[in-house]
Amino acid sequence: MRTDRKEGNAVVPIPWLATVSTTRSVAPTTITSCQGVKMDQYRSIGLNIVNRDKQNRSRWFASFTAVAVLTTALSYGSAANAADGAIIVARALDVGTLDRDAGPGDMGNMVIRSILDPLVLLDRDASIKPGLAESWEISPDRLTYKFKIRSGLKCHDGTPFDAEAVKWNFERMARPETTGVSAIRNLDDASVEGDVAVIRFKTRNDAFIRALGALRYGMLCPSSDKADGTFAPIGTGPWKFISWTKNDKVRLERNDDYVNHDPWIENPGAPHEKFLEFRVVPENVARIAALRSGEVNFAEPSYEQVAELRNDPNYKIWAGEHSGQFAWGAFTLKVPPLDDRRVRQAVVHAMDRKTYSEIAFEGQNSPINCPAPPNLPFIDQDLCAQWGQSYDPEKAKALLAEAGYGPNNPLKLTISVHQLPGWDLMHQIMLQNLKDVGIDATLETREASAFMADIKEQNTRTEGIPITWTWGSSGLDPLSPYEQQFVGAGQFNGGLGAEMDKLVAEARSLEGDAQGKAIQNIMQYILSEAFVYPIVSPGWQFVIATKSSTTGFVYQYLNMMNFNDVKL
Amino acid sequence: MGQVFETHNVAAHDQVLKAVDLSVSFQSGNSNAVAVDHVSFGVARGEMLALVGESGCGKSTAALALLGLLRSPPARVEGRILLAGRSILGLPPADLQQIRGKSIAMIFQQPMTSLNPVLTIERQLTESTMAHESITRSEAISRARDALELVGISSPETRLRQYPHQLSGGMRQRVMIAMAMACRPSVLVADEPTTALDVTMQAQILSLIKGLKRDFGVATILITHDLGVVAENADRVAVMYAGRIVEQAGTSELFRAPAHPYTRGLIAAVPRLDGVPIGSAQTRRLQEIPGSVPQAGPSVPGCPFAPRCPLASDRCRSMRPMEVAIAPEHLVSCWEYAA
Amino acid sequence: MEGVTPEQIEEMRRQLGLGQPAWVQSALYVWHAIQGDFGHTIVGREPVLGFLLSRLPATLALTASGLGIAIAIGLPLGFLAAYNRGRWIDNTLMFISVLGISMPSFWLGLMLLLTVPVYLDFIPVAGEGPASIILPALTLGLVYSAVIARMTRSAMIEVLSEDFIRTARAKGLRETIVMSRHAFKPASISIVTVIGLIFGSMMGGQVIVENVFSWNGLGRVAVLAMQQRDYPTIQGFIILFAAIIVTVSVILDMIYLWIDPRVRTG
Repeated sequence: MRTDRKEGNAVVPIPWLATVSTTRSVAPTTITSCQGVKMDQYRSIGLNIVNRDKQNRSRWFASFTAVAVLTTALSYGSAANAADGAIIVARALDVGTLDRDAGPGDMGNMVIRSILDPLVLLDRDASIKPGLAESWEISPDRLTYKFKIRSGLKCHDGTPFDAEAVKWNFERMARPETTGVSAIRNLDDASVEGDVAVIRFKTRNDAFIRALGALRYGMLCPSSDKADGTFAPIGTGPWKFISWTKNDKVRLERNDDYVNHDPWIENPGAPHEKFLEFRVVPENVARIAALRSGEVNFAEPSYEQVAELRNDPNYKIWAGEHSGQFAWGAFTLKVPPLDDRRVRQAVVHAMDRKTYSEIAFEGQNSPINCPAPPNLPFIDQDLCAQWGQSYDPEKAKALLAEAGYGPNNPLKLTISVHQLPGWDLMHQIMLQNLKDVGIDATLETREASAFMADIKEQNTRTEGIPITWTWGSSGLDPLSPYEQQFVGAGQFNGGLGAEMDKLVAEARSLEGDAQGKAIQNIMQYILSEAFVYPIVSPGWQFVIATKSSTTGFVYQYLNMMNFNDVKL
Repeated sequence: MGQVFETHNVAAHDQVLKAVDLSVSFQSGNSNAVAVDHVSFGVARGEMLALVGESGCGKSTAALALLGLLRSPPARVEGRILLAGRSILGLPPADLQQIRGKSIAMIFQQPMTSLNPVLTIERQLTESTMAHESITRSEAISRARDALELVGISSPETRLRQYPHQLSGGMRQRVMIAMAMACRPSVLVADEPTTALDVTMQAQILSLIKGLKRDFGVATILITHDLGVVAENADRVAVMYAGRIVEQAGTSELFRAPAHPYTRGLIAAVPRLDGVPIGSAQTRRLQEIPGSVPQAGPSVPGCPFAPRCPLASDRCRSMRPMEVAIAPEHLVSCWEYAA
Repeated sequence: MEGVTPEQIEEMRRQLGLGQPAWVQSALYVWHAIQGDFGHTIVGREPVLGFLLSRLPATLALTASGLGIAIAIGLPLGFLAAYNRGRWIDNTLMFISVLGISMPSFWLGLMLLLTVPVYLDFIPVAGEGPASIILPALTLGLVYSAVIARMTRSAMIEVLSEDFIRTARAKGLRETIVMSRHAFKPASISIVTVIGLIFGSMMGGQVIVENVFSWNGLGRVAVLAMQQRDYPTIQGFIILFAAIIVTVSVILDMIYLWIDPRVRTG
């Protein structure tokens, strides 16, 4: 290996404050083997070629490929390695944007949250702990939230982070072009009282404080928005942004002044490693190959690769336990015979969720009984199992027979789904499950955006072929998924009706154990009616592989990756 | 297989190039096609031997065999080829290369395609001399210039810079001859050098070859199917039929007294302008030889001409006729004369 | 999906000119494209042309290296096969080349990914640094070297049956000179044609190879743009690709001029 070169490769300090670049940046390396004579290796190679062969252009052309390939192979073999204490994370997709408020999605948020710290933090038990805010007050009507901001907080560029900055953040999030900020939907205003930031809502906001600790709400420093209209994320978090080469990588550098408050993290200060890089490697095989060769330290595996690496003592699979994700299915309730509870129950009884988890997800996740993010208070899998439908093909057949369906008159049903790793295989098994109980099922798979548009349309139908469809939700608040999907019209026109609206509104108005009981009531109602069926948790982007020697990685809530404790 | 005699030639000891009992066969899979079947001939310094025959009779193959230009496999060459008394058949490729172009040069039938279209005349003229003699490039160019002048090409400087497609057909054949003569070879093999040219050009090229023969004493083998060309240029003639030499004689002797039925047929088939007024009652009708040249195949035991021969007997069909001298330097392979 | 207001949607429609009839949109696109304005990417709102041009060097470097490897391997092997035509070495080479031709580049790429890091761990596999060009270039190069080898062989064999080759041999030139000077130069006319075609198909093959090896060139852009329905980028990509192919064929014509004197004066 190249450990001998690791020490030799000093890296010229790069101004960490760089604008987002779309050019392919070549990290300058220096040759220290020349006894302190530093030279830009890349340029000198180029110049040598030109000088030497100036007279003989054709030979230069002929030898270009060989020289370029071989010289760079020899000199840069090491530069490509995870040297210099760089944590390199290979993922399939690039971030869409690094602007928190421009709709970064999960991929982007994970990177952004490495740069930005939130006001409050969520502990493993989902309790709320101080972050940038050392304390907070919530008005009983849940309209006003006051955060006392720690003193002496410094942004990566040296500017202070204070209550004014918090105000600026909420005002920025409240701009009309901001996306994905349902938790502050009815923001009234943000103001400053000394070192206290005051956030007011027009309507009662219960989910706010917990949402603040989640992936989405890291705090930017106002200097992120440059005078010339460009943007580069500046925060107070453990990693400073250096550069983003589109479709290639996002490079971050350790914030040496960092002070940790996150209860999940042992390291009290700055991260152990010097650099953190999120590299885009679209091909599954290439990601794992890069992990094997030591070129990257973290790699998203496919589920097939999980099975392969799991039994290899040299590798470790990290699976998110606090993902807040859950996969669920629902029905086009207005299309007969899905308006018949027995038919819905029969369909759910036919589904072997344990096998989905074991086969399609290589046992890396678990079947769930509650239609809610698991591992949250009041989400009791045993209770849910009593209310819902377990895998029982005989019962499914009996219920179908009761509803008038049998071998001579099979129920026609379409499973409508979107493509996703693991899910594709799960749906195949699901199709077989339904056929096994005599349902004449077909599988329709679409790409995600087409699926969303289609299901929205299908949910308005009242006749035709009935459909069952699957989707995934994530969150740290058990009511949020319901509010998003089943209350009112719902994201896919999948609202469950007035009864559901009433139950959720009631639960929202309660607190503590009373709210917990109300949540359980909602789940009992949904499960016994078989409006919605829970499938597995987590559902997507919840596994990552490393060498066994890598330690300290933490998957926090919503699969947020934390690298502060990581040692390579 | 019949008995084979060596050529009883008076000038045999002077012969620069001699083929003795030369055979060429082509093997592909299980079949074996004999293209040249135990032929013997030779050519002396300053002499022009014409190899005459219809197309497919093996004359070009024999010529290529002389220079070792047949690819083996599939070609298989047997017998002996003597260059100034030295056997050159079966020499290693490197030694053959030394002989080709230097001692034996060859010019080909198609001047249009026999020059490389993408190389300059200069390149094609100089590479031969540079391959065979240790001379500099400028010397080679000056030699090339001389060679072009020798073959009667004016403004050789310009021509040297040109490509073959910029030259006329006659000019190209002159270049070919210049190329062949560049190393002053002792033997020149000219394979149908005028076939592709118009009549005026034919005469010019042939007189050029004749001049070279005369001036430099080059032993020349002229391969042709044109008896008119033979009559005007060759010193001696070897008539080939189906891979064999059926008759050999001095040119005037052959035309005066053709012995082999095939030779007689050939000569009878040529239109003549020698004093007999066209349109008079005495005009002889052109004769044609019935039947056609046999396809190359396995060697036949008897006389290959037997199927078309008006005089053929059973013996002709079963035994190969011996070569007999019916006059000084006049050899014929026919049972008619063996008795 | 939340937080997009109808005003934003309307603004987007206006920006993209979606309210106009299709022919007006097309005409406007062409008019702007002529002026070098291919619009803005939907994802990221960057000027399409600048975005694509920033990736072009990576793609051209990969194509050039792949082509270089393909020629470096294919040409000598084709040469060798032609020289030994009909013999076992020819048969062996041609058998291998059939394997090469029938091998999809992504498959070869995956095989290289699976094996190379195990045995040659100094060769990068995940598109970082100039050395990471090795594997994708090798993948493209190996596949196309088979095509070049076959083409070289058949072009050489065709030329070797020409009369002028016999002339060259009759001059007593060494076989290597006959092959390299007399046979190769005329044969290179058809070889160059094939290389030109290969260049085009290699640019296409890049789309796959760049994704397999995380090479940040136009191929990656194209795949992502298609996944994201980024039509301006896809349009720009296609036009840029076409422009490159046209440029290459112009260069090819110039190479013909250089090789073949008949084209020059004829």
